[in-house]
Amino acid sequence: CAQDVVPRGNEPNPDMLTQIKPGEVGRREVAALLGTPSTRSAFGQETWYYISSKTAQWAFMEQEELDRQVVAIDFDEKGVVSQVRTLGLEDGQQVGLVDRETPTHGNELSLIQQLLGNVGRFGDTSGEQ
Amino acid sequence: EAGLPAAASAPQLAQVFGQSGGQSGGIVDQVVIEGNQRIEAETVRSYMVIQAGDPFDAERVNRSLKSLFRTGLFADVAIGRQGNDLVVRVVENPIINRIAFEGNKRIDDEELSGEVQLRPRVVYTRTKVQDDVKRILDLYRRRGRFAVIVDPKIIQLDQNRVDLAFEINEGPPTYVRRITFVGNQHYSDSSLREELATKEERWYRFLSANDTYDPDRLTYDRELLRRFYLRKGYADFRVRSAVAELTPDRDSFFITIAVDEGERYTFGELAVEVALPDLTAETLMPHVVPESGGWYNADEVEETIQALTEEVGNLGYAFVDVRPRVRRDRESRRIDVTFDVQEGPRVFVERIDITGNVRTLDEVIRREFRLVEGDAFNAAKLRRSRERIRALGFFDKVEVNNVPSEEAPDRTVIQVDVEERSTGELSLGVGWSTLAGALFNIGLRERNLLGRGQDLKANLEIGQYQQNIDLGFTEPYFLDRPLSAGFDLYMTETDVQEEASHDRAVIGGRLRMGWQYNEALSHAVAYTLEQTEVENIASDASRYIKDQAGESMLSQVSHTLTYDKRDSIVEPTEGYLIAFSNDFAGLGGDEQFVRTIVSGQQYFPLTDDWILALKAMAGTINAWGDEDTKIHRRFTLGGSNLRGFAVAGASPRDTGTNDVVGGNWIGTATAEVRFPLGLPEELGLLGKGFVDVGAIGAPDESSKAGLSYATTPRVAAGVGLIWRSPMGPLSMDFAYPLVKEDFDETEYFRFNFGTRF
Amino acid sequence: CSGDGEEEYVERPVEDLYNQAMDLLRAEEYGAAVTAFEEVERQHPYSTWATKAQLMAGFSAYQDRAYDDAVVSLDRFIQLHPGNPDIAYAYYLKALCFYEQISDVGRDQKMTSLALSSLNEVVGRFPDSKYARDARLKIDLANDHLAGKQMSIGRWYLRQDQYLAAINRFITVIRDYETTTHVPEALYRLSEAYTALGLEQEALRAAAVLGHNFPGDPWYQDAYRLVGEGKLAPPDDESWMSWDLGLSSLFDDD
Repeated sequence: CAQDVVPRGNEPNPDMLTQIKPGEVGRREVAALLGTPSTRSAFGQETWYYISSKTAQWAFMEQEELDRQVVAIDFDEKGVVSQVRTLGLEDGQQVGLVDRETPTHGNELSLIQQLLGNVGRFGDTSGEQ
Repeated sequence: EAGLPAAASAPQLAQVFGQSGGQSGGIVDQVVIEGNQRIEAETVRSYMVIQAGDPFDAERVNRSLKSLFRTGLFADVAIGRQGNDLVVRVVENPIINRIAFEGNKRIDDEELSGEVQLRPRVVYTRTKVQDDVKRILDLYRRRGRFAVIVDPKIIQLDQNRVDLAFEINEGPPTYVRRITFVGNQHYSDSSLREELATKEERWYRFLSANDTYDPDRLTYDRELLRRFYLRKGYADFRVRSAVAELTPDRDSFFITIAVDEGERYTFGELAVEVALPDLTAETLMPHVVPESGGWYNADEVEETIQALTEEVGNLGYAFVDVRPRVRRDRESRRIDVTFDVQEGPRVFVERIDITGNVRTLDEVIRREFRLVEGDAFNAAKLRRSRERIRALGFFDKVEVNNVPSEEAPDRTVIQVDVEERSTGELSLGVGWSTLAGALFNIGLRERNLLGRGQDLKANLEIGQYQQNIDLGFTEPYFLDRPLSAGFDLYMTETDVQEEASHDRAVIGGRLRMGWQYNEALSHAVAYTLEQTEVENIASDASRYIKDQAGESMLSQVSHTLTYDKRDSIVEPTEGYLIAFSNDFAGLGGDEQFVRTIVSGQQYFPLTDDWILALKAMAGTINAWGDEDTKIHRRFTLGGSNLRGFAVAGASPRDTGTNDVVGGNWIGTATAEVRFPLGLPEELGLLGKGFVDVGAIGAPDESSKAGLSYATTPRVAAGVGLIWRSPMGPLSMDFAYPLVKEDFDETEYFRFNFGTRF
Repeated sequence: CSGDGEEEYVERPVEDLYNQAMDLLRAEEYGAAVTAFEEVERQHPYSTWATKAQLMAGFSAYQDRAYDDAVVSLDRFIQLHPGNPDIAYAYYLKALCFYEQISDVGRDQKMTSLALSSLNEVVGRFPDSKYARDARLKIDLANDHLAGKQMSIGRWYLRQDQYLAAINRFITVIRDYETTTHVPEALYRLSEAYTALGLEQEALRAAAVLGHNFPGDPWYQDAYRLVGEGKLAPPDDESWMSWDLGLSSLFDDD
């Protein structure tokens, strides 16, 4: 039975992409051509990213990325496109995620509480998990 | 002690000094508050706009006046000037001491006080009392009582307190005596009444309030009628009027609904026009549900829109918008429908916010979503996600919709708001079945354990012939994958003295996993470890039974492949199901056999209410070790799988002792028609007619000495009754064996109540 | 109208009623204390005791963890006596009622936002009251909690390899919750997601910001190890965290 290929993220229209020429085009034109970026750089020099991938998932297997496209458009301080980088699936790396988590409080629901329906006090150190 | 406050009359016009602003000017020395008892002067000043030290200004005095009234604390306010002081004379609204309801029979005090806003110790105002009177009237109207009169009475007490009493005269209930239709040629009054939510008053409708008159429900009925006619092809249908007149004795209503059915249309030309790059109409045509020439049906148009949207979405087009273009040809009474498939607006999902999940974890909902943050927005996927969340069964209400995002025009925020229901079930059941005799069961189940979506259930059943205790746990997303995994532990004691003169005690456990290949095809694997003890063997039992005394351990791996295309799991009326399973016993343990079972069901809606169900099952079990298969592993024929015969009545048995030894293959088939008995739907009574056919193979004992068995098919036919009673499902079968062997044991009547049958 | 029977309607002097209620409160009979205080107010609405009783009824309901009832009586107190000297305490107590119902990050955060808005009201209306200081502290904790929710959703998307969704969630934490304890982890998770996408520059920059602002933080050690030793200043050695580095690399297998 054929696997359903599911498009993820924002894949910019190829022939619009070709019109983004470094040095010639500014932020407004890129937004007009490609729309709002999927994400923006959080600090440092401004960069817009258009990230998309084709995924498939079969039976109980984990979701598999068949192909990925990351378009990164860097802008100089005057807001003109300085560079357009495109990365594919092959540029990606396998990353072992650290499973430690910054602790948070909050009333974890215990079995008794779920059955009785009342929830303990937040911030009250005695009632914590 | 201030004099008794006048009943709160309309606020008197404020005697603001010199409206013409004559002697205005000068600075307010101080603001004097008079007449306040309960409310501190400071509080009154805090609500005023003009303070000591401000210039006298009529406009600001007026604003202060309004703001003091808005607090609802005062019956009357007067602001005047004395020299350079601003004098504010207030009359406080009284405090309610107690609220009482008199004359209410249908609705009790507790529910009324829940509806009413006023509370003891709250400030009394005329407007609040009028609002509460209206609320009480609405409450009664929803119960179908329109002749109610509510009269609020005030009893003055000292210290400016009042007692409030609502004197209620409920008047007679306003039932719907008759619903008549005008202008309906193609459908009878009674079949149209079936479509309405409002019902005529009947004695058996004491549970439901549907037979009382409710104007909102009548407007909803107009919509139901419109949808019914549009489904049947009457595109021009219109409800001209829906009028409810009170009967002369004022205790019930006559409802008359005038309709214009108009002409019945058929589907004319059906076409798909595609405005998407490299996608042709031909590839989409198969998804058009209606056929041209068939009667017009508005639902089929809607189904097509969803099917097309889903299909184009699957082909990788993120943005799709399907719009039907309808052209109506009145002469030929044909409707041409063209489905325009265009690129929808390029909008992306910015965020998915989930609220209302007080108990359920965010990820248990989020993982059901077909969309991920950052994806292209697709209405069909949103609908699919809503269905999947609803299918979890944890929520009474699931709202999934999207709102434009503030940050960018081409982005949208999906808002999911759920209202949780209690997913814990404590079930107590009493029942009687031919198999287990009289029985009592208690079950505890939590379908959303700790809000993690896990399912935990424990069950205890005590019956004449069978006692059973089992515990089951399932995690639907094992290892964060769409893989459901779980385990069962069980202990069962069965008394089969009658059939095979021994008792069987089984204690065991099972590990299981299951997953879906697609919407219809699912697969499950399991490992079972089970110890069976054959005990209390009657002295005169068959020697074959005696050979099997004692304990035996089963270690078995099994898998089941299911292809389910039925329209519903609970009450299928259409579609089919095929299941194929293999059990392989012998990885250790004392039993070595291979068992294969194939089963299938198909449902045919003969009419809207008559459903034909064809079911068939075939199985074979073969020992591969040196021993024969254990008797309790073999197939038995008769009872639930072959009505008209006693439990295992048509199975191979020991001629002398009449003990059942079972057969190593089996084949059964049944055709059953379920039909309404012309009684109203609320009673939940259905009739059924059926023909059962079954055949069973020889026992495994190589010698087969002293055993009587026949592989010829047995046939039985019969009728029965199904009643979904308030106490639980009940089923009765009267069956007559047409073809049987002389050593078979027959049974003409089977009865099942309160158990899952 | 005659008394409605079950609760006998005995007029008693206000001091007795009030003291009886206080005794019940001291005896931690909170439920009974609530009804006793309400009786004070019902029988003597105009006495100064009534005002105090309203506030004490709210406090007893709060102690009894009947948060909804507490909020109702506190709201009434706030509406009737905005000028009362204890008004700041009433606002503060109402904020506590929401604050203590905050559920863990995996669930609906309605209570957190209700707590935040009433805590802000306390700080806004009574900036120099003795309650403002604790309110400011609780505001930070509540914000930290909301950041925790963003992080738990971001981590879930990361585990599903949905890097884009994860990146946006972690950027929200950095942008909207920069004073919370979750920023170091958000920066580290960003470098994880960027590395997975192959955007080494971005991963390096996120790790650098993390190192610059939180040199001793264990998350920086993870980032340092992830992005490659050579390219970043080593984690802050003299900080008391350094013995941990030694310990953790001991057990590191990869």
